[in-house]
Amino acid sequence: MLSDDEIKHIEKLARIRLDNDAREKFKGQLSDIIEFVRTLQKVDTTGFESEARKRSFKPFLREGRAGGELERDKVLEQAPDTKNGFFKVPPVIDKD
Amino acid sequence: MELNNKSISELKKLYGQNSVKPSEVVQSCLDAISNKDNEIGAFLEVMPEDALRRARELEKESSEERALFGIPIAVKDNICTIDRHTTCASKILKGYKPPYNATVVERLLDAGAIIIGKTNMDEFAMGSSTENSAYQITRNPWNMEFAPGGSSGGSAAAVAAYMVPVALGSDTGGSIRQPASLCGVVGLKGTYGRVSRYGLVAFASSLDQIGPITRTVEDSAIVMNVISGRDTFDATTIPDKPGDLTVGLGRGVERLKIAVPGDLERWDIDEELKGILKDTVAKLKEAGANIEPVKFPDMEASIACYYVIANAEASSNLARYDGVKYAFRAEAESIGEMYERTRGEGFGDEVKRRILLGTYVLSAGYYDAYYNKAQQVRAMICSEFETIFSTYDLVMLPTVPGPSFRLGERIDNPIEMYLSDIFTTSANIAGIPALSVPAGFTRKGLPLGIQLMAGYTQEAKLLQGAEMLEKIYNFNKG
Repeated sequence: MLSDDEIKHIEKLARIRLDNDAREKFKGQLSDIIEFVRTLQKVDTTGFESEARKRSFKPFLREGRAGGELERDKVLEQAPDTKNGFFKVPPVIDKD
Repeated sequence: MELNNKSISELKKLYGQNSVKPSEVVQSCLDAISNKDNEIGAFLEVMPEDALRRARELEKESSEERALFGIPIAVKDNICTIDRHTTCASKILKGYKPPYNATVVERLLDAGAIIIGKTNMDEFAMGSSTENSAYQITRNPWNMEFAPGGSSGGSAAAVAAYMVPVALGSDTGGSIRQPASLCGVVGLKGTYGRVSRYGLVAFASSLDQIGPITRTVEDSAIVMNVISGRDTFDATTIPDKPGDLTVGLGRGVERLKIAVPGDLERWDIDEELKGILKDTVAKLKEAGANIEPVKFPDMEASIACYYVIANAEASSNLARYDGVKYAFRAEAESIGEMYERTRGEGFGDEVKRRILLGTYVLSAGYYDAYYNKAQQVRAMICSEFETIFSTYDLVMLPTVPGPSFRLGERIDNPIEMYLSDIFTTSANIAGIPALSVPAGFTRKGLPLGIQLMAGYTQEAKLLQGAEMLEKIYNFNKG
């Protein structure tokens, strides 16, 4: 079972704030899911230890030329807050 | 003439004879939507003006040449449509209108298709019942008390209820095939890289594929022909020309080698579905196919592997919803608080669970035990499939262990919900094509589906086998 500290740590890493009720509910559910995916550790993967995922094709790259760019105003229209053609966010540095 | 009931190939014929106009077909679909969708809830947004305007524009030109001329299509709400809502059924993207079209949307429009609306889904495609939508539930057209499956539940329900001949879905672990099975329609997920993901809102980038949900196998091939192929905006698309996927249709299954997993009795499969599977094996043998049991990759390992990799990728992909760039922001005094509150209030429970799980398996101390191990298991599953497809043309198995379930029945039990993907995730893990065809009904009238998988890039063979199943089950009564 995940401890309170563990789930709070994951919340912090994921930048998701849970209220206490949700945290209680998720603790049990996440522990069950972790238990479930832990079955992976029993799978014998000898021979595949260092193998990165195989691909039978190479990704193809286009030429390094600008293209298909989006209009700035159109993109900014979708943001919650903007100023002078930029995204606007709350203070990043503490006032004190 | 009920035009909304027609398949794509039937509509193409009618257009060829000049006996119908695109606006009549669109109107017929719009009428079906207004008659039925209040109850079913397949659509998050219908675009009657856009669709009729485009239909009238198309009427000025000839129907020749364009593969989807005048064909109305519904699009899952995680596929970007320029200046039209694309919310992924999430509160965090409420009101978001992308400034560009997904490549698939561009290709559909170039082929003459008419986009009629956006369909409901589990939030960010996470779920197997469409109940995780932040906006509405969708009901199974065959029985309104039952789930349509998910995550492309709106798309499958819209096609099953004859509101449109085709809808696009996306499939990360079964999200096209599972709802297709539960709603009694055809759902195709191509080879990874077959269809461009540009403009598909990312869930798990190494697994996601867009594909068609249709009522016939031929329609599935026709749509896949249009949407597949290399795209400079998606470096993972397969460079080779896919070729015409309708070529295998009508060839039958003579001399095709079909494998059936040898350990299916391990799983709790619906009795009627078991009967159908047995019957199908007999009929395919009669038709000249060679059918043998094989050792299939461990399905339990496959689903565990899937939930580690998919959620790890999701935790990274969904980091972009931070309250800065799109739609929803929770008010806060500092930027850190804004991130945490925006995401805490904007995401639904299932999305939060998955991001948290993905964060956990990638975090220091757990990375090797979970994420790295899952990648090794993935490599092993890929190699096991390679072995199977070096001997066999197709693998046949159920799409889902049983028929649909009641709305609300599984929503509080994530693991039980995850297990409805037990037969579908391995195709995403290995990147191989797979599809679900309607195979019949339970005594209570709920659809059942059979799934075929094929080797890497072998969609033509997959559709060839699927067409034979279509004949056996006679679901395409036309």
